[in-house]
Amino acid sequence: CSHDFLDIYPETTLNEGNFYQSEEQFIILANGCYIPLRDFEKNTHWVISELISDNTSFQYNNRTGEAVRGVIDQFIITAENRAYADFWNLSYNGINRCNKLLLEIERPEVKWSDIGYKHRSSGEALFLRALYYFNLVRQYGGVPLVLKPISADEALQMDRSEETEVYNSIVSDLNAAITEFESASNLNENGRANLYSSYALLGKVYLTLKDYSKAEAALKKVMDSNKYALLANYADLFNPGSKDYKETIFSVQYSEINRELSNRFIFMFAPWTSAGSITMRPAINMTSAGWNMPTTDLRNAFEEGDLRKGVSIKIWNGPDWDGVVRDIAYTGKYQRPISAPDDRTGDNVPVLRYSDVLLMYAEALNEQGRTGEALAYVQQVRNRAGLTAPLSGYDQASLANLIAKERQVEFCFENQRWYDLKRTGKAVEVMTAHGQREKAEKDFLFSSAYQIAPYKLLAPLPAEQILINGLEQNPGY
Amino acid sequence: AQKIDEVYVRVNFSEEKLVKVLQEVERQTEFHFTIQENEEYLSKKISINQANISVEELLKEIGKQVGLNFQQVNRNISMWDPAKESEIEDEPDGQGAMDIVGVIRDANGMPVPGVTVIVEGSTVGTVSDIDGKYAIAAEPGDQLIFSFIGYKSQRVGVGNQSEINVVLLEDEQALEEIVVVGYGTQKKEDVTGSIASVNEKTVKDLPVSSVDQKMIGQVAGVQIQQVSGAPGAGTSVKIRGSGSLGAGNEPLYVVDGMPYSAGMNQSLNPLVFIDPNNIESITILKDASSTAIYGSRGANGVIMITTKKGSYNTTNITFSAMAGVQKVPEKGRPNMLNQREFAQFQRDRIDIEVELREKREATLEDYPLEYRDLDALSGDGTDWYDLVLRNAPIQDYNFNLQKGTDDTRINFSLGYFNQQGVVKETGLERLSSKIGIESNLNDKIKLGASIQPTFISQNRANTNLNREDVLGVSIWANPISTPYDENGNLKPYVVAPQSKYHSAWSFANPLFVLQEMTSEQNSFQNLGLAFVEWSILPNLRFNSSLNTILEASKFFEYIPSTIGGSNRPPTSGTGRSRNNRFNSFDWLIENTLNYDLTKGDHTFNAMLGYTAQKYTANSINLSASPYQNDLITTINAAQAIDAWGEGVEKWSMISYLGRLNYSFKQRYLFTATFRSDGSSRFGSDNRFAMFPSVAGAWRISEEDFFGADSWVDNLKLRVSYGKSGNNNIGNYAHLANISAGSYIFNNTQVNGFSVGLSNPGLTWEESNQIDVGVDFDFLKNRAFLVVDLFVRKSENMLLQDVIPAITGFNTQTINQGSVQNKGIEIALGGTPIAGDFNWTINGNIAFNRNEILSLNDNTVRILAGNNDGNPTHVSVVGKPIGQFFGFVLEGIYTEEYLSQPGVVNSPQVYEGNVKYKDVNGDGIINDVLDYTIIGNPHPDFIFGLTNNFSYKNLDLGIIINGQYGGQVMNGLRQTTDNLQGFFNVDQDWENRWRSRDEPGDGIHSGVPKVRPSWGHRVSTLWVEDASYLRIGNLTLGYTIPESLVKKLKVVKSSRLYFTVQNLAMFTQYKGANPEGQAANQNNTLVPGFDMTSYPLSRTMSMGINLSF
Repeated sequence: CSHDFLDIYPETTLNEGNFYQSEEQFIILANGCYIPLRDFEKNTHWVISELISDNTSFQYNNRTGEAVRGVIDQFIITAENRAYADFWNLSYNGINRCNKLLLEIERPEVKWSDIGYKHRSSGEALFLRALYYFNLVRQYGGVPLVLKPISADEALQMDRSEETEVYNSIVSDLNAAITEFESASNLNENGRANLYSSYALLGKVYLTLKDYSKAEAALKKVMDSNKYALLANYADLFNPGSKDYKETIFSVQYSEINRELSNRFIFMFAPWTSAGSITMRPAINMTSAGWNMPTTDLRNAFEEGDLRKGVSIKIWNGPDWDGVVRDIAYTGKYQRPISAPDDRTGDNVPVLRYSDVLLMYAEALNEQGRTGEALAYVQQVRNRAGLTAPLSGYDQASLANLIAKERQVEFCFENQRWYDLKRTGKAVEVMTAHGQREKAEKDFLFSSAYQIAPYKLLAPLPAEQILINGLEQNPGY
Repeated sequence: AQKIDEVYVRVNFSEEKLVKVLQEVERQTEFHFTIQENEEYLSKKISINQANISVEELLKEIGKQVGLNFQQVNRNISMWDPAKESEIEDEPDGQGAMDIVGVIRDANGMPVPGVTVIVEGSTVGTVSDIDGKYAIAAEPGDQLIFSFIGYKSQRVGVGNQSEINVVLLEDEQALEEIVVVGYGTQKKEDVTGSIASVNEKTVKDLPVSSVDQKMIGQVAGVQIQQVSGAPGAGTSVKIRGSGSLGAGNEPLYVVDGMPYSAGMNQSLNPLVFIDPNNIESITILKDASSTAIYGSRGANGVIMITTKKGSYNTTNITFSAMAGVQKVPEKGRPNMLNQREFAQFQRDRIDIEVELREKREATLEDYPLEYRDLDALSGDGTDWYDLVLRNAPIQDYNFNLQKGTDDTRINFSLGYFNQQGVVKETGLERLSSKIGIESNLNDKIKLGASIQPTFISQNRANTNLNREDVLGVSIWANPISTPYDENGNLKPYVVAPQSKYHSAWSFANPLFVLQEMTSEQNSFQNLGLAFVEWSILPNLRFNSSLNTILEASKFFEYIPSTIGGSNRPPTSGTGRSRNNRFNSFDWLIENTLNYDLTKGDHTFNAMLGYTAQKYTANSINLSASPYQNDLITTINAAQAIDAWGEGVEKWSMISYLGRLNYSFKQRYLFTATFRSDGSSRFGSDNRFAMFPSVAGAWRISEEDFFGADSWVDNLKLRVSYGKSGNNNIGNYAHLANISAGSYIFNNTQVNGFSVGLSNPGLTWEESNQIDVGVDFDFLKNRAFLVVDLFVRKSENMLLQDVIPAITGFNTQTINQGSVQNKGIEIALGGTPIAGDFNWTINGNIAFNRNEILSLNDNTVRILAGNNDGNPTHVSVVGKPIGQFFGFVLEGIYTEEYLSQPGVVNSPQVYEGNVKYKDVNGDGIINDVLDYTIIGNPHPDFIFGLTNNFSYKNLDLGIIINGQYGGQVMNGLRQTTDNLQGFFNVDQDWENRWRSRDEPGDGIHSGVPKVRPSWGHRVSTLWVEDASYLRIGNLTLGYTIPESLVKKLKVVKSSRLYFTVQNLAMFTQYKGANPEGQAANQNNTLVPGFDMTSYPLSRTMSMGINLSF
């Protein structure tokens, strides 16, 4: 009989068989490497990097039960919390996409019309792999270091790597990315990782490692490129109608076009009691909104006259959860949809901005004892915020404090605060004070809220992965 | 089965050999003559010319001409030469003998002519005349034996009687003697495998929509669970346990030769498309020697369904009507706190909150108005569950016309079935029809074709899902609120009493949801069949057929903006719709060649076949929202289509198959089969799979050492071994797919793909089964016993293996692991009392032990199910599939316990709170890590018992079925045992811990003082005994006497009956249905998970069957 009769292939999807042929296919695979990043930034990352910190909290909702997110805000951190599992799963999903691309792209049969695309795609995969690991290592400490596609059997043989090994790999990936991007300099596209996002991230990694001179060198590359600058108007950074690629070096990309490409930040971050009056989409249910709302701590962190405050924090006057009309603060960095009739929004999430580079650079200089040199870069950032009074009289410690405060207000709602607190060793101190104030302010918190302990600075590995993968849990959980 | 007096033939022979005449009768009818070769009477000459003669008359005429006796057993007619068989002396010896006379009648009181009457142990015999009268000489000590084809023999002692009247009863045993097997039929006595038939007569009048519901309790080892009581809802059918982890456990259905791979569809049972009134026979193939002929689809057993075809030379018109009413029994309805108890519970909750927040005792003013005056709250309050239910009508009409001429028969039926649901606004309507024609073109070629179009319209409600579905809400909704406003209008949304400290959940009024929400499925299906049969030689037959199934369906759901959700008031302009359009076409071409040969003591039958099948399905689904208003609900009124997709599913299969039956002296039987399946679902490396089987049987009772007088009528020992497969592995699972996605850079949308895991070696599951069985008929066929022992080992399990996330994936489909089912099935029955009053009883019991022998090398367990993000079931090696998994409830923390040294200090450890066992002993109670196996959903045994009584024209049937052992988990307990104060809770919580002085029953903890609370985790509390005994059906029937019928002239026979389906259920389980199963949970890995089950109703109905 004819065996053609039995050869049936899916018509709605492609399959691997004859896939790795052309340049276009690898560009598509490289695009795919960004997707898990987009998906966890949308739902999870802000929970474990911003909500967990002293910057944001949530509007109490006496009508719903406990949620995954509320406990994290209150520093009740457990290995069963879905946020940690989702973040873990999506991160490694992204890493595997990068690994797969880096493996298959070396196939000799692939035809490249411009070899630059091969370098660019490799560079993107290396950059993204570094970013995935950088997030992982900052959350969980040492994690299994997977640098090629592995089978389930191989995965079971793997243990957690030392934190330093993970960092070494991140540095090495970023250096490799830099090399690749240098051969693809004519193929830049807004939104893609590039040479300078690699340098900026490298700078941040070195800063985290407290290798200040290397951080300084990497960040200097970005500054010397003259490709990036501060926008005159801070609010322009958060306009989904005209996305910024001048100050924003790397951001996670969203669009209102369709559900997959969109986020729904304002529908999660506006007060749930505001119904449609902030989102202007009365048809969209807001019952489970009210997250990532600025705390008193954050609001107090802004100096008098700081133009960023009005951009970052907006006030809505309306009924609170208990029906009492109050001024309720919510984030101003994420906007309602421009044209989507429903809850699709397209705000990008900045990961690396030029002001970040400046403040990191200042921090690297200050930590090396070059406080005076550093002042100018902090000043640049403050000037744009309308805080133009010249900085003077700072010693190393007080400038470090100023930089920390600048970072808190400059990057609020941008998922930096928790990492900054940990990096600068202030997490326990700041969170203890924050917890006390929160407990004093809110009588509805869980009785186990804000039990600050150093072990909680490292996130728990997801309980299911302890079971499935046999990995060692972080102490304390 | 046909009767020889009802089937007419046209004959015109002059001086023709008998064998030719018999062959002509075979050609015109379904009868088959058992012809011993080389018998001299076969060459005797017959002359007869009749345009229309019944087979009975014809055979009598032949008997006259050549002196032969005939005996019919179902379709088989055997013959013998009485002169040769036994030389009956015509003249009694006369000594001491007296003349006995009498009349022989059937159960309907009609005289039976032609009955053989013999004095036992002698050669004296006679035959009853046309009026059923006989006369015979016998002595007082003699026994008379009355026998006639199709009737049970009777033995009567003469004593001092001179008149002996006898009522002969139909021999139902004999009617079953031909069974449908894969690709053919077989005489039951020749069957070597484990095959069971459903007695159509017993289940004929059951008021149900599909044939699987009729089979409940009828066949040993077939577990049919009614997982939902919704009209048209699917059942879970398992033959000999669960043999698969990932590829489904439903059997293969074969309808008129067409494999109908149903799978389980809880929303709409695929078998509803077949009107049970059109079904002639149901056979269940259980062991591998009978299922291996279905190869890669046979592993879960095969259910063969044959529809009615009509007969030649006769016209038969039947009409049946049934109408009844369904009602949900009181037993199994939820028993929740009444309104006073609920108010007290809410006050307790508010007390804690006030104390916690404001460090003071609560006062009356802290409570919502509705809770303040407890004494005013008398009575149960609103019983929401009761409100969503109703008494619902059910009706079924069927018209069947069969007309045959001597070479052609046609068959036409029309059926209408309408079942309204006991949950308001649900229901099913079916319009079914069949038209079939068969014609003998000439001696050698027969053609036939049929179509069976069926249209189904089903209105659904969301049930068996979660606490948000209508039944979920109606169980937990607070009893203080009411469904109607002051003006008597339904409230769309019910706001629970509000307090700033704590409020119970507000909810969408389930009555309003049922009324306003649209969820309807319209389906059309047609089974088409065309065949040609060519008798190349008298014993060589070629058959070629084309079977098709065409299906088209449309599902439409509209949720208007007036429907809110829990704590989500409706918002105007939020209407949303869902549309699914589906069509499929499945065709099968089969070519088989059959060869029969009898040589002396050797009988051979061989069959070879080639089949090709292809299935194509196309579906489109669209979700649209929001709708600005609810006036127009078609998609064009929606502002956007927010999700859409198209699915194309195809598979194809090429098979070669064969079977050889061999018997020696009708005593030693041997069967071998093979099938080779090539499937598009298998990777190209192992595209063809081979499924062989062998079986042998020894009819011990035919051996010479069994005297003719033995009380044993039939004793057969069967042994079989075979291999079959399960190919439900998904159509494209072996290919690594590239998952599509997209990303955006600035404003440019781009494709972003990722590569999935490939499974180049992915293949079918394989099942090896050994069966040893005994068929035993004894006491003159008054009793029977069938015992089967089997071991079924399934390998190459299709597993959704959970793999470490660091691979980039969370699950992977693999073929690994094995599961064993071994068990005993016993069917025992008989006719303890025969005569005017007749009692037959059929019982069956099946013990099955399921055990996972191995899983993936790396996987110690498979976790499945979902409760608050945690698993509810675990499958581990050494245990049956899908054990319940959760905390062991140890009771509550007491003062005494807490005063011990070394008690863990955690926020959850406080007096009155729930105490779970620290299984891993680490001092901390963790979800999952401290879970353990807390129950087993698999019953120890299942049983069925059917009793039929008849007295004269009255008959009474009772069907009982049940299971013993096994447990069920009520998933809604996450809500109804949840003391957080959001929901109403089970009445048991009246015994909760309230204070040190009122500690309750020590099991039910207090209202939680710490959030997040623990009290609603899966625990031993949720697991209940699922044993049950159900009186599944009771039918009382009355057949109008033929004497009366004859006066009516038009009607040939008429029967009236009254039936109660699901009469009573005896069980410890508190929920609606111990067999309930959440629709969104995997039936194999998450078995026994009852969630807001659509209740099974008790149906009382009346019916009439008329034959014209």
